[in-house]
Amino acid sequence: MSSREHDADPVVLRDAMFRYRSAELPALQHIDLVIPWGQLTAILGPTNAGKTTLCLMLAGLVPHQLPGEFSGSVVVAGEDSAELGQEKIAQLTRHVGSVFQNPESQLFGLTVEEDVAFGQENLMVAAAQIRSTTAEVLAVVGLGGFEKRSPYRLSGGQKQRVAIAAALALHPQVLALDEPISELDPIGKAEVLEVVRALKDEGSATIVVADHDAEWVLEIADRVVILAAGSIVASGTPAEVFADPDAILAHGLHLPDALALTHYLTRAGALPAASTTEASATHALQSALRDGRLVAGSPPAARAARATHSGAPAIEVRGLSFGYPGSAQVLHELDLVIPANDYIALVGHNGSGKTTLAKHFNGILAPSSGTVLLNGALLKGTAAGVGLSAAARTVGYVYQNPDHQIFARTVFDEVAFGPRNLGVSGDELSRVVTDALEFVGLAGDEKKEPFFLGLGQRQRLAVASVLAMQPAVLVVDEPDTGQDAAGAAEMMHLVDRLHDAGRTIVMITHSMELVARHAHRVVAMADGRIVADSPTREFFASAETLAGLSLRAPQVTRICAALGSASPILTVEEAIDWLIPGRQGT
Amino acid sequence: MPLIATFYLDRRSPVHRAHPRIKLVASLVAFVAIICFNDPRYQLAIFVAILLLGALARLTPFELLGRVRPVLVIAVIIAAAWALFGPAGTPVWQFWIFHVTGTSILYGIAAGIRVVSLALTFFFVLETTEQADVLYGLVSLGMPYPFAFIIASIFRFAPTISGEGETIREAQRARGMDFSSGSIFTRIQKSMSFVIPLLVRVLKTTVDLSLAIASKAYGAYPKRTSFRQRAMTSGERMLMVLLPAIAAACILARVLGYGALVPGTL
Repeated sequence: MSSREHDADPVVLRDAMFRYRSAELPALQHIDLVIPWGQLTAILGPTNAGKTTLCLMLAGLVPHQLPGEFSGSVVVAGEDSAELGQEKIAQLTRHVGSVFQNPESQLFGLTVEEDVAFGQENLMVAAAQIRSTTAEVLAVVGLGGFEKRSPYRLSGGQKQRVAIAAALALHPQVLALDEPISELDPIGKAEVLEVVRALKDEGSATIVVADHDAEWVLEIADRVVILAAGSIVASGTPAEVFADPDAILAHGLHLPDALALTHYLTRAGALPAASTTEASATHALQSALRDGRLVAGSPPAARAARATHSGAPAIEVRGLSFGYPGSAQVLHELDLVIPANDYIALVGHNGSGKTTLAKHFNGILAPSSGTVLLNGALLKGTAAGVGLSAAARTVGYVYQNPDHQIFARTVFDEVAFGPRNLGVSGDELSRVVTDALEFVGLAGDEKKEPFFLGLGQRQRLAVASVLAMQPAVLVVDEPDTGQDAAGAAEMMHLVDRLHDAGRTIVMITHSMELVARHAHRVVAMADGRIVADSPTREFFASAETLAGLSLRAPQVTRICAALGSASPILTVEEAIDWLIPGRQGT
Repeated sequence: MPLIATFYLDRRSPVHRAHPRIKLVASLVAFVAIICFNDPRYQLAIFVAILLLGALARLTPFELLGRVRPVLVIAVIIAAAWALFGPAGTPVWQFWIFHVTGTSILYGIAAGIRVVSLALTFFFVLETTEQADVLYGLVSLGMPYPFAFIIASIFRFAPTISGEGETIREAQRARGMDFSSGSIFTRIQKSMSFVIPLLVRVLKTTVDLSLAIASKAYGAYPKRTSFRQRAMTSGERMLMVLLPAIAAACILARVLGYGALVPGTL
């Protein structure tokens, strides 16, 4: 990061407003914001609050790079970006280093060093200086020696660290990170967090982090700005802003477990104040337990055991091995039985083989050796698609990104696509489409164009388009990716209802919070092998298994473990029941 | 698995170490020589020279010819076509519209070798030069940076887009779509369920990419520097003079009638 060049704050926004061309409402309005030197400012808000637009505005990319209407002023490094020409704006971008959400589309070099050198070359830095700066910033992000690697070959976390290095190479006054970990697996998240922490701990860095997940941001933020519907609704220190958690919830944000738990206990009179970080919450709760304000009750395992399933198998995998043509084997002799109406979480870091395994359930992939049985019948699915329609009737697969499947002109046609492929027509087709749309809450939207729906609605449309084929098993791939707390909760409510209606659920996820709240059983994979298969609470009881998989239990589980809970506590509700025994069963 | 858009084979050889500009100019000279002569003996000599350069680059004939396998089929078809319909002369075999002469057979052989040599030269450069160095070489030879950047982006994002395409295809197959059956019109109709989401994804990637580029001071100055500063050795500088001379010599030789099986025809 560059040293402080002048006394003025690096970025100052005054009454800034921006409305995208073709949008009815402004993405941002009445924005008065000062990014002060040497602090980490967190910009929190739900989806569509305007976080990304604000990050682009800080860098001077809005209004110049995106068409729309702008008013107010954005002063970057002492210059009002709104009044500058294109060339000057390009020069101004060096003052705010931008790192975007998607690690894939911000690295465009053929090698890592090219990506890090790109901005420096644009700023006419001499070759020798570029080489030394590149080596220096790659070392800062822990990627020394990666210069010649192809970005395509890197993991998500490594890509994001290269993006940070490329931003740092310009010696920016501010580093702006827009949801830098939301698309990463747990290992990638940990890698990026370590880098951000290290930069903050240096003391001189001015960092802006935009996210909808308050948990990790509150652990490191000096200041918090809450955005809602394009306006700043709160700003200050984390303690000031989160002093009224109910107001935070009203703005569509999810409270971190530490805050939700201590907020409840504060209102119950057991704690003097709510805590925003894990460490402070743990400390406050330990004090309360010591002086008797809280009394831990019986462990939750006995009263909160989730249903285990031992019925007829919906899916049976026997000795399954798989390798892509010309590549090494990625799945190794797997055996797995999934009983009907089970609710399984398939976990493991990227490349562990969980998605590859799930693609065998509906015949998208065919085993190199071994078999897959659906309801006791051998699945004859092959990569060429033989028997695929039969499998599609039994196992529905909801992909992570709804945009990977949406193509039809209307919502009705999108949902009807699957059943039509299976030969359904006439009144029967209308009935299955209507039922599916009603189930996901999109009844009445049949004639709308799918591309104009919001992300949450598109996600539900993707579910409906699979449900219309009436599968007994549903594979849901990363149901919360890219969604804020409300969107993820809505999606998971839908999945829970499908399970309650008798369907078997296989959820592929990196989110331990989703696993803890919803799954009945966890199947963990590493290097193409199943390394753990147990009921959810048992899974979180094994610290060794979690560490081996580089996974972290949910925050509330970690806090309660530090307080001495005998068995894992999986949700804030369970923690409250445990700490206020009299509340049990109420 | 998505394809990886690189042909580079990492070896320690003088060809790999050579300045990319030399390799690009040398390949242009090779193209000139291949186009100049239509005598199969000359074409064979050029073909052998490329294989020898391959050996110098520690590439086996299999590695070189393996890349151009599809071209070998085309070369045989071209050779046969020229043999059947080629330049006039005394027929050695005649049937219906086919008119095979000794000259047409030799011309066909030359044409077949020519096609293979052109492909070999192209892949030889890509197999001995990293993509980034190829682009550096092109820019150092005067190609405007934006063009080089577009080429680099195509190389970089080809595997990404290919991966997106594979995911989309899988997502539609999971909804019972069978892309492999039906008439040509049915298949075109079916392909919309693949093409539309792919276009949307490409568009989104392009927008993201443009913001990422803009955030890195692109266009801040009329010119830009390059961290790849590779000075040419004195031997390479001599080659830079010699290579155009070889090209000129080839053209002159052809004008004087050397290497021309059929004069007046390329």
